[in-house]
Amino acid sequence: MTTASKTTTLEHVVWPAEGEREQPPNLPGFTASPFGPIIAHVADRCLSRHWGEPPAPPERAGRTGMVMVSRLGDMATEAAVTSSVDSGTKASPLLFYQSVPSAVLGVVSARWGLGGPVICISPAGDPLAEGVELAELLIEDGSAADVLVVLVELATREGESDRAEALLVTASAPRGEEGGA
Amino acid sequence: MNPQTGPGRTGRRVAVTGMAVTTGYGHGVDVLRDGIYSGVPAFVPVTRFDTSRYRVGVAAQGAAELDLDTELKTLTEEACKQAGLTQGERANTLLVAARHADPAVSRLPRQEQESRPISETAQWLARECGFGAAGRTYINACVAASTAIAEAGTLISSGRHDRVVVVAGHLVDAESFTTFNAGKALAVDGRLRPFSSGRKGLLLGDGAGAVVLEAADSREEMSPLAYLDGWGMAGDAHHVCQPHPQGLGMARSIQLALCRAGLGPQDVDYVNAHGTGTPYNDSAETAGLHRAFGEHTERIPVSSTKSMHGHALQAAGMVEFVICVLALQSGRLPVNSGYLGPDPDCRLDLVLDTPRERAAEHVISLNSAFGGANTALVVSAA
Repeated sequence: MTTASKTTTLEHVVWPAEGEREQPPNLPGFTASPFGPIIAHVADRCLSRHWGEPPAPPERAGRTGMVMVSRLGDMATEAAVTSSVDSGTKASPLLFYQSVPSAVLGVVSARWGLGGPVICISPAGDPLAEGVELAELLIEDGSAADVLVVLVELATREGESDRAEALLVTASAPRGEEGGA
Repeated sequence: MNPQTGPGRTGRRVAVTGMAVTTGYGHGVDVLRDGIYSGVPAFVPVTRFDTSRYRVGVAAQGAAELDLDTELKTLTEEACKQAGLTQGERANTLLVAARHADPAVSRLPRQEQESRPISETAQWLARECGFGAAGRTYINACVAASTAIAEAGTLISSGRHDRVVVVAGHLVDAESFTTFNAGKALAVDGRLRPFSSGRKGLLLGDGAGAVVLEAADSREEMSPLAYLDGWGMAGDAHHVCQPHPQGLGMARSIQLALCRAGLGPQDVDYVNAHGTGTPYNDSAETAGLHRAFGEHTERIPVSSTKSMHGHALQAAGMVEFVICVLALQSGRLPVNSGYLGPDPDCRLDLVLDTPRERAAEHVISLNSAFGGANTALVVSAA
């Protein structure tokens, strides 16, 4: 657990972990891109580490928001769409919602019962810093009590792997009330 | 009312001091005002690309040759001019954006994509327009613009920034037509009929805009057009692309926005609904309105102006925010066009046939998106 000035990071997972080469599990309803499956997988891994099996505890779930951060977004799905446009072939109906970056967060929120804000951004600066900053803003603003921040980038070079991180961020306990974890 | 604190638990009050917009009606707020109060929809046959392979060939498309980045720069300059910002004040301004990934980038070799983040529009605009910094670019679809406006509200009310410019844009393109066609979401009868019996789906529309939001106490030379008094965001926790049938997230976003504004349902004079004209959305949104407003629901005038300017996706919240300001300024509520008759799942006081005279004090703009995202913005008269 790490504590910043206003928030505490309860969990932080990275995908793929060191030495891990597996692909994320298939995600029903998603095709042509690993973007959605990776988000669902890393989100599950982070939340299950903290809360065990879904759903999230009712006292936390309703005010847990989600912030997805990606510089480039889902270029694989975008390429599938533009390929359909350029070739004149019919697009898969799945691309209708899959081309919307927030759609996969609906899978995560439905599974875990998360009722906070659902936000996706492309950061101007450092993705991790901006994701955590936005989570802090949502918490300080009263828009959420906890925020799941998911960072994801698909590989753009041969030999690189897709990568993702997920953090569960909460408000720091007032001074003098910190736990011993 | 104290202009420094606003009516609710918000910190500093947030003023709207500049706005500019382009829609299917053309360029400018005046053109949009004339268009929506005429009640004549802006839907025309699309000329920007070949639509012969799609089930629907109409949209609220403006000039075919529009370039989104160029248009956003023009609009940003116009909004800043209206706000009366000096170069020095611009240098202390943050720019926040909302848009979808540029389809042209996905056509580049993968390695070249790396240097073309979605946020490059915001960074370019910040440089071109002399702003101090570019902030985040919101990409959460139909709530992207409204979420960006909400973040601007938070940044200003909390004292982090005195001034934030929000820009948002979506132009009707072959890529969005392809995905909406594949999802059978476009209205085959060529009309977007929110909350109506016999509604067939949505139609797309051009949307680009910029608004200047400022702390009401931050400058003396300020002429607010309206105030952003509340914002709320909540998720449905329900489905990848269907809204919660009881509108749970929508209702919570409204309640949060009203709470922040220090208002109750009895204070709401008008709702500019998300109202996409799809069977799922409109019944779920109606349920959310009833859940949030209770006994007051059926006396609050509602319209979805998408029925006239189409669905501008990432810019929907921007276009509809501007329309809310126009409704406050003019004392006239825009119509819910295309209405064929009542749907028992959509029991609302819809503004039908002609604009309704109403000296509104507080109005709400609603948006929702795939993934169960919902936003509510409370806009109050200056």
